[in-house]
Amino acid sequence: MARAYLGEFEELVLLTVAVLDSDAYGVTIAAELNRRTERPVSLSGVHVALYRLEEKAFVSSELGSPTAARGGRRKRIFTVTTLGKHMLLDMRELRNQLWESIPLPFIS
Amino acid sequence: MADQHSEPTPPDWADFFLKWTCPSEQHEEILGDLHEQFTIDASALGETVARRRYLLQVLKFSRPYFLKRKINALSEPATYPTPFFVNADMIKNYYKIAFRTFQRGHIYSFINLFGLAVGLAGVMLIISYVFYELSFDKHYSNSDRIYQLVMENRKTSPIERNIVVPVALGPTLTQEVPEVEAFTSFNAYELVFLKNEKPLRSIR
Repeated sequence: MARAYLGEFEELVLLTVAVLDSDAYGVTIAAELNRRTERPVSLSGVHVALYRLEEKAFVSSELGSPTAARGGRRKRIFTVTTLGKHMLLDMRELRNQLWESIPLPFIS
Repeated sequence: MADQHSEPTPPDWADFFLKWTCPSEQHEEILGDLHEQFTIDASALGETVARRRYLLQVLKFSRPYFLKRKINALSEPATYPTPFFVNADMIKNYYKIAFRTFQRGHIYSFINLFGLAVGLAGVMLIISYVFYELSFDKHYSNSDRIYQLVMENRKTSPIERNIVVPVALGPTLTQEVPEVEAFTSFNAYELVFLKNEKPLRSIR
């Protein structure tokens, strides 16, 4: 595979950014992952994953508007880049291929 | 915290600790996210639990990823000096970049360089020719007003030019062409007539 490495958690975060569409930042991503995976997701872990994803150019970010709940601080909103989208599609494609290659009795 | 009736806020010292461990360009978004989470936790689980969770989260932010970035940011000088624009290192770099660019598209680079060389050679030849042509009769004042008559023989191919012109051309041009002020003629060589192997007389 001639593509950058993407860890399992990073892939989950990237998918969550895609799910949350234009409202993806630290708190919402952590909450969404908590709700869906039912495993403890720390804000710091989400932040590190987001910064790593940004360094790999799978997400882009910009500072949003400040809100009162955050003490007037701005939030960094993340969006999936075209490269990130291609990455997700590639991984899905690969997984589908692998699933289809499993002999039938395993699934039933 | 000073006003007990206001909404619960996370402890300030935790924020200071986070600012100490995390790179400054991320303070705003990280603290913002933490405070938002604290507000959610405080209303859902109570202030005590929210505070405990907040402290745990702050502690978790002091992980190698952020610490490394913080240390890297500290070790970098805040401002950079502006060196003089003619700089040996930069000139070295320009040559390096030029060399690499030439290597990348070497056929086009060769065409460009060859064209430039041919053009420069042409210019140098033209300059040397023009300077040679303009170098004559410089010891005279008004040398730019001195012309030499040349006779063209158009019956030959290529056309031959000869500096030998009819003797009558000088006086005739001086009389009939107003731009001609004066003329002079000179001999490039002598004609010697021989009689009994002895020179008869020379014609100048």
